[in-house]
Amino acid sequence: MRNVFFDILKKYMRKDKTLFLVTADMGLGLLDSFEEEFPDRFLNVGIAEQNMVGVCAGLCNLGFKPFCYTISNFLIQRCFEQIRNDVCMHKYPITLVGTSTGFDNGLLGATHQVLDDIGCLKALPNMAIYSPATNNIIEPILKEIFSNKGPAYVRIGKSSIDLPRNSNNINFFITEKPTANILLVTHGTSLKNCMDAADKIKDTDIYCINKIKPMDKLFAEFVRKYNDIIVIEDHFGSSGLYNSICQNLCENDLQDLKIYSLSPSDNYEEVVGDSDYFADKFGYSSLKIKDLVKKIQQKRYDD
Amino acid sequence: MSSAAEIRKRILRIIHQSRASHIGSSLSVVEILNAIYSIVDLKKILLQQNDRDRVILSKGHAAAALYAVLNHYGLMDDKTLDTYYQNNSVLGGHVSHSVNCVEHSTGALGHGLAVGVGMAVGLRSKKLNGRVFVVTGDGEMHEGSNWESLMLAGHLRLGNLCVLVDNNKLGGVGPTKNCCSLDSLSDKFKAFGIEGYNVDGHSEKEITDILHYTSKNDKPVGIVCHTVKGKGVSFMEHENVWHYRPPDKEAYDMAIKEIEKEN
Repeated sequence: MRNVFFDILKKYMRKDKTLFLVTADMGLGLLDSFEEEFPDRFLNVGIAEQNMVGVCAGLCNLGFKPFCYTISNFLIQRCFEQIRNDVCMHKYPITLVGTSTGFDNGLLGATHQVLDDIGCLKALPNMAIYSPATNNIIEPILKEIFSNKGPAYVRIGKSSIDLPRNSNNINFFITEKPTANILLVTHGTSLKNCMDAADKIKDTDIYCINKIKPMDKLFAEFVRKYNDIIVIEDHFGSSGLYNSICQNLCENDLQDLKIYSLSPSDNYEEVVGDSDYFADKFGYSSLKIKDLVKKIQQKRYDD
Repeated sequence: MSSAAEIRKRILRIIHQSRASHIGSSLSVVEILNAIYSIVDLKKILLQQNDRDRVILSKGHAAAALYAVLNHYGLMDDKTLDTYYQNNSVLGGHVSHSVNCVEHSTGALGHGLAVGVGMAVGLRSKKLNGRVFVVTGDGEMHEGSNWESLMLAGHLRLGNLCVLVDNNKLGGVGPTKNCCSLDSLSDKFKAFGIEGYNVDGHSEKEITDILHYTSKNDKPVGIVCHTVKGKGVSFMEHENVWHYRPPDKEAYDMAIKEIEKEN
């Protein structure tokens, strides 16, 4: 997905001379061609993320629309004050592009497990948050970012699902069956586990939230038809999509819906592992998602 | 009366009438800001032309000084200046970009230089002539983010960037040398590929001479302006209690009397 994102960005940089790409020494083999093709609109600031965000704010003052790229664990928390003061307060059109999210780099240890980035940024006014699940949604997201003219974060995990969307919305149903009464809601790389799980079970739909903030206005309208909602994500549920959906349900008088969170537990892990290991450990592997759905269905049958 | 004395009187008035803080930090930076605004093209700033010179007061707690200077140069009217630190005013205790002709909001230290570097890169990228002036405090140089920005500025040889340090040698608690020494700042600049100068920060001529001399530089400029916190009011000079304390009626009257007598 990262390569898809940068291929599309390059296409737009050719058309739009206000786009500027800045990196903090990340993107080996990926960004060389940007430096060659756009010598006046590409900058590697070195391993200095706070400076990178401030520099992007200065570029906005000149009328540029910078893309600010490094891996998410260095991009968000370290630069939080710069993002708050120099970007969000000024409503600058800076797009933070963060890769290696969730447990993508789980084997590198807890410093590189990015489970709290969405929660951090959700607190900041004016910041749009995207967590694309498919390659095909990248371009619509970029178009929306360009038309919004404000700060945005694009959380790019290691996945590559090609799936044309079936709606004009950024968020859309992956599967929608007339008989379904359980809804899987997910974002980013977790979509794959949801699709693998739903493949083997009936009466279950999948809705993909590629834009986490602002929250999907349509969600409260269609979600009424389900009995149970399961939110699956590679981010702490307490500050991630689960938290946003709980708030959304409360605000729309939908507290009667039963909601479950399948996500990493609220802790920084001492042991390492890859994304499949942690998905199994925290119950959001395809098998464990399927188990929960079956349990819900069985309980309903028993009742 | 000199323009610096006029500006000091304005600063004292707005801080006294609103019972705001940071009078000492505002009085030390007067000549630095006055020197910068005396050489920039004010018309371009008013019209917000993209090739304008840009000024960032990174030590945002000296907002009263910046606003008094903007007022002095006709970039802010008297009525607006008098709303300083009042409810429902955009003129708060720290510099805000909601104020006309202010480029960037500051208040958390160590942010202005990175933004200034971005502006300098942007001007170069667009092949525009403007310069970028970033004013920091000396205590502010404790913030590590500054050194990330200076390193990059030196590497990129951003000759259109000028950093001016209001080196009043006092931080929030006491002398900066007591907590973390900032000796030989100009040597530190040089080590980062920046042309370093030391000047009397209360001599507008010394500052403007260097600003003119370096106007076509191929390297960034770092000017350490040696100043006195609370400058111009004898009982405030070097006295760190005036970092936070607002002058009451008696102190205000004494201060104004002294400035009028001296100038």
